[in-house]
Amino acid sequence: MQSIDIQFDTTDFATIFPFYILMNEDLVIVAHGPSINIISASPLDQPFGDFFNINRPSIESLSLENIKGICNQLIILQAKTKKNNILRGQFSFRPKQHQILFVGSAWFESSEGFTESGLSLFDYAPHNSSIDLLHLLKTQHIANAELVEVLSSLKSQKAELEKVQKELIAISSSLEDSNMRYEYVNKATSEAIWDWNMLTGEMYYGDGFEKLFGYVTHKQKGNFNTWEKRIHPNDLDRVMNNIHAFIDDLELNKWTAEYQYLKSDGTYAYVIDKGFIIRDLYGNAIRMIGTMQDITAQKLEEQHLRLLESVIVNTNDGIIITKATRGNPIIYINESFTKMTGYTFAELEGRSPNILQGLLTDDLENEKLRKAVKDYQPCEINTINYKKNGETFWANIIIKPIANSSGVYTHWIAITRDFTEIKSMSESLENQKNFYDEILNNIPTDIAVFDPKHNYIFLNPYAVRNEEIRKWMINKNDLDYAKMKGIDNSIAMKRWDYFERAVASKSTVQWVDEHKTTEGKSNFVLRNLYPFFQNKELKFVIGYGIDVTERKLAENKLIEALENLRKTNLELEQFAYVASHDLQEPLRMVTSFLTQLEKKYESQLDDKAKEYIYYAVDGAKRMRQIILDLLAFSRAGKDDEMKGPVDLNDIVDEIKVLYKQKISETKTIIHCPVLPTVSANKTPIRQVFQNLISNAIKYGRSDVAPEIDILCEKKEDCWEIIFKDNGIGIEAAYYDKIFVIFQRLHNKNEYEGSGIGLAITKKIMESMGGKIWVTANENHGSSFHITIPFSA
Amino acid sequence: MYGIVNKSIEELVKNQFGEDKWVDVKKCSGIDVDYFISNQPYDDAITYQLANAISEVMNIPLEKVLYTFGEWWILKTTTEKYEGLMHAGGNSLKKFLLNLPEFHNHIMLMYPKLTPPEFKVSDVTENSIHIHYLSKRVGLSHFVHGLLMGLAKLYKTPATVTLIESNKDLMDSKTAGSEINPESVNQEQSILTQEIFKVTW
Ligand code: HEM
Repeated sequence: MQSIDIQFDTTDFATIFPFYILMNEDLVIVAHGPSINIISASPLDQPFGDFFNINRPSIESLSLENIKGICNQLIILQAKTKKNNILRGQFSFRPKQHQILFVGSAWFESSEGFTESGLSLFDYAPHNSSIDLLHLLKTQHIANAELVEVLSSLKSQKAELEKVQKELIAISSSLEDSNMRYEYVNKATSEAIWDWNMLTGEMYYGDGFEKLFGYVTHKQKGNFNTWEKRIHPNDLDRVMNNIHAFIDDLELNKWTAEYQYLKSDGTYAYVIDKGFIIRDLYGNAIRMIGTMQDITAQKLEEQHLRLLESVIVNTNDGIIITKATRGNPIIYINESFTKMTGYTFAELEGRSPNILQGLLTDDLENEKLRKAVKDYQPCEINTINYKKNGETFWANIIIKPIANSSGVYTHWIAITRDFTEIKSMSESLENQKNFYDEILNNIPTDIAVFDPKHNYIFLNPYAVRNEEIRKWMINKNDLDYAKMKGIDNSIAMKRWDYFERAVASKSTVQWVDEHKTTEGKSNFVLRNLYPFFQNKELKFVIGYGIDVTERKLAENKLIEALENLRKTNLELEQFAYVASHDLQEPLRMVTSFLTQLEKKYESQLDDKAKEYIYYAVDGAKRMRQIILDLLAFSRAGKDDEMKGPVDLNDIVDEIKVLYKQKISETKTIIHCPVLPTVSANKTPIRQVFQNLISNAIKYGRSDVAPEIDILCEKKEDCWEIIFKDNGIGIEAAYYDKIFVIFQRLHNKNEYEGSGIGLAITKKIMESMGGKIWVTANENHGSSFHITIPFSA
Repeated sequence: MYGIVNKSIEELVKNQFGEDKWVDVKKCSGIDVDYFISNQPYDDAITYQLANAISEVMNIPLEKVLYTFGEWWILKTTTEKYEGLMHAGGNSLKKFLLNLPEFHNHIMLMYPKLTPPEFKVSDVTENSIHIHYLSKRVGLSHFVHGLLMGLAKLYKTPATVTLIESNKDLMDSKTAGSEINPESVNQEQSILTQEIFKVTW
């Protein structure tokens, strides 16, 4: 046997076999690998048997011989102190050295054991993969556990599938059974059977659909929509909500609905539809089967009966039903009868209707009734009946015998009507009509009513006095009247025109007609036409006329007076013009001769005479100024100049130029915004601005320079322009006076001028449709307001 | 990738957002797999589609999804399922990271068809280390970031992780936009991603 000589030093050996144990022939440990200490404390020179058991193979006792006998077998050692720590390996006897060597590695049943042992990967020799095996095992464990989990999940899925399958088989077999049964029923019944497969939406329609509703369905197949489409629109929502709520409610399995169902002939049948639902184990609705029954006849009968009943219950007539046996005992009275007579049903039940008769009851009529009852004949009487409280009333009674289905009279019905009130009412109606007739006949106003074609349907006597003509006029119109009378038809045409206007505008129209009397006087009538509509349809037109002659005459007089006034004013103005014009000449003469006198006879005149001449000249001058002003005033507002756009800014500028000197002398300040362009005559408007601005300068306070604020506001239909000054102001008492001609508030020496400026201004403003007024400022001065209409 | 990855994603979604959202995510991803088995390999595309779907359904940026998944993978999945292995990796963050290059070698024994990432370490100091991440996949940078942060948390060691080098710029042309395009991965066998993370604690 060839031998290889491998030399290890202890460190090398320990690296390759970290778990080795070397002992002598006495089985005392002489050396061991570094990782052994972690398996078990193993001090050197101590007996091996104190620390380890040999678990496998079993030997009788721990002896050299016995160990020799198990050399080169797999040995499993167990640490005595830590029973979980196991070493797997082999013994090898070294005869030369008289030693026994154990090589192997730690072994664990699970990776957890490895973890607990406190060993690390690096306590193993790299060539040793036993620990990796452990982890491979772990990996397998993990995978196995996962597979088990997957399997169990698959198993439960399978079980579920099997359950479903079984259910399906059960359902389909039970369906088959019931299908058979239901075929028989389908043939036998007079009801329409339907079968709705809720999974496919298909619907099977039984033979009944043809029998009851006239539908021949191809192979009796259809779908849910076919049914839905035939439900009466009035019922559709209700039925659909109802069936869907039913399907959704897992507690329910029977469904009923009443509705109208379209028949093939286009009419609707009342049906009662009853169905039941089949659900699978999860509650899913899979099928619904039901029958429809035509209950139209029942329904109509019911409606009919209900109608009749409601008639009986609700009618104002008192109704009694009695048996046709002796004494005709009462078995029903309606509420109206109780109201009419005061008797309740409890009081009348079983009693004879005679109870209503009394002393005043008409014997003859009563006899008629008795006879009819005896002969089972219907009958109607009018008689006085008695209420429970003894009051009487006029009763119209109709009685009728009622037969049962075999033609035997079994009951009586009596309808009683209280016509006491009608009796008195018709009397009072008559009175009322007379009353209105009286009014219509005597009212001093023309009243006529036309039909929509303008034909008369009513005329009161005031309108046409002659009764014969009045009657003739009915169904005729004004043109007919004019023709009949042979008079001019212009008034008739005019009226016709107004008539049509009233109808077209659907409102009252008014106008005044003038009639010449035979004496040639004028009569004025205010006419009104009032169209009367009902439901947008013209029913008739009411016309009436009121004599307004007096009013009209007064009005005319007023107009005349005004006209006269205007003329007088005109004449006056003309006079003023002429007078002032003509006065100028002699005045100039006076002045010039006085001047001549002063010049020529200067030396002869004493101071007194000169003073007189001076006053005379001065007076004449003033008179001249007054005359000039008067002329201006009479002309004011009479310009023939064409109206046109006037830029007020230009006007203010022109005035500033005109008064340039005065403005600089007085240090006047004028504030002016951008003013509008107005439509007016330029000259008079400039006159107004000039007067107001020059006044503001003129009437300044002595201690401050005049300041004029021109303001402008746009009003609804005019411009308002305000001239605000800081002058001496005006007392409120004079607000009106200042605009009157020749009124001055101040001494002529204090402020020059004739006092006609504001009068002219006012006249101009008024002639152009504007206004002028004055207000006081808060501190000093006054504000003159003028308004210039947009369209003067 | 092995089913354990997808399963972990599934658990992450169910745990964080609820069972219903998982249904939504699966629907949105368009994948047709009812159950994931851990030791069964699945197409990488599935994993990427799931990640994209989470991002879309939950309206979370894809990066955030990947990062969260990295943490989840360490703190939940591996510690619950492979507690021993994770413990065996070392008893401190530093030790674990030093052993990281060996780590997936052991995993390869358990998952024979694994396409594992490769880790190398360098610049080891008292309190920092450079982790070189090499992978045949692309777009998982944020996942690795999350993994490393997860490890720091596992060892209760406050740490920061920064990406200090990446060949991603090269890769961008291949991955096109923020969505990961599974077509561009999977087939090629050579290393596609090379990144260096510096972990400091
Ligand atoms: C018990 C612990 C772990 C297990 C069981 C595990 C398992 C896995 C698995 C199955 C994959 C998918 C790869 C494939 O299927 O092809 C993966 C990928 C990955 N693992 Fe781990 N892992 C663990 C711990 C870690 C740790 C601690 C880190 C590091 C920080 C890590 C980082 C990664 C990365 C970055 C990937 C992405 C793959 C790539 O970039 O290509 N893993 N791991």
